[in-house]
Amino acid sequence: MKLNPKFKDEITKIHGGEKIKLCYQCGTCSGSCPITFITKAYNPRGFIQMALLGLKEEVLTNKNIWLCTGCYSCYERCPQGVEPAYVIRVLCSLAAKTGNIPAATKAGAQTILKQGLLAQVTDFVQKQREKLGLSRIGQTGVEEVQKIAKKTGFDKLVGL
Amino acid sequence: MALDYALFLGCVIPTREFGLEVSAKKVLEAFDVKFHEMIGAGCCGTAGPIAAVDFLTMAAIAARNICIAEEMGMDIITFCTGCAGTLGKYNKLLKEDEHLREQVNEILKDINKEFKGKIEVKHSLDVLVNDIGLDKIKNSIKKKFNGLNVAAHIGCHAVRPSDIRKFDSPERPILFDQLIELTGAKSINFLGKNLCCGAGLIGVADDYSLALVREKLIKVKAAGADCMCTICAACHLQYEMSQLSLKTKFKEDYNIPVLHYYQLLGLSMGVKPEEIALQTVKIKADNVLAKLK
Repeated sequence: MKLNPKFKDEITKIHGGEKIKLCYQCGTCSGSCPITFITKAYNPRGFIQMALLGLKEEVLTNKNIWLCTGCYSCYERCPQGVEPAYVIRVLCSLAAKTGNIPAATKAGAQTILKQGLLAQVTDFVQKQREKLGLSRIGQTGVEEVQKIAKKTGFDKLVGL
Repeated sequence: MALDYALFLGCVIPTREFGLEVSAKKVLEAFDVKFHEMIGAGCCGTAGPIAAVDFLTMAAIAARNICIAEEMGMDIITFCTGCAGTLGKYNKLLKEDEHLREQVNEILKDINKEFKGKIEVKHSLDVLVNDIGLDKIKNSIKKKFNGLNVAAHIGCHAVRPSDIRKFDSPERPILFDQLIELTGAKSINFLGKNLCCGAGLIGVADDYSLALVREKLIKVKAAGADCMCTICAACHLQYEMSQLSLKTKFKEDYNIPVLHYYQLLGLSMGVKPEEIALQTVKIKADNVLAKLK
């Protein structure tokens, strides 16, 4: 096991991770978390502890960090204002940069880059819309989204 | 006076939740809301596949969408709670954080766009409550539901994070219940009412997602609900589809119709069921219609 004491400083430099050092491990985040209620494999307090201790590799390769539903209960309740939901998201983005992205997340991102939407616009969809008196789905700005992704390197991150 | 808005549809609503699009348009148009198409708008940038992978890409994709409305000179209205959350967040961040705005505008230069920070992003709930107002909605009611018990599920992103949404209490919201009760229905209490429905994990961890929504359905059923009412497209999809999968996979039949709020309100405004696409609801809502007097 390798400890990287500078890992927490790396996190505070990224938007959303600034306040991680304020965490005093009370566990309000995990106690409020609907996913922790379903599975102890998802434990935001524990992930933050690992990050603070410098267990960089362990936390970034833990595929459970991607289980946040984004309900923001922890965000509202954290007595230290750590914004755990954002901290977890920063951990995910750092994991992504080391190639650790769940297949479903990657597939979702690829769909957005190919369609402009996180959904398939099929003939069935267009026909259903017409039947209900809704206009057909037109331009989704997909070329512009692709240009943005190319410039930020997002396309390569998600394997395109 | 008409309320002109740039309509941001997002992904789930135009491709899957047709009932929400039809009913929200029908009902809000009755209150003089005018929708203007945002040509070239796409995914808001969405939390899972983009925001969790790269913050700057997320900010640029959200900004691209906001720029379209800025060019139209109109505030954005969205029926999608997720989009209201993401676009609202990045609109606020980009207005306040000069450094981020510069970084994003550098990216947007290539597509001839610039974030200027000239508009607001509103959820249709904000428009209903703040622009139209409960009194005006109350005056539009023609028929009332009698003895209808509704389990309300407002959805996390309608109220959280509260520093961005600023709509209602993030822990004990009441405005959505008040909106429901304008129709004569009763918004009932049930355990874990304000907990997440688990929709955020659809496709990522389906078992956990189903386990979470099952907990909610059990409590909704136990509280004696005749139907559920949602405002969020993802929550609506989750409550309907999960009931279908729990039935086929585990032989558990909850049989709780799930209505979009605009459908409930529309019915009580005297709009015909087909005009608010009630036929698109996957669990038949005849018991709801029977209580409309």
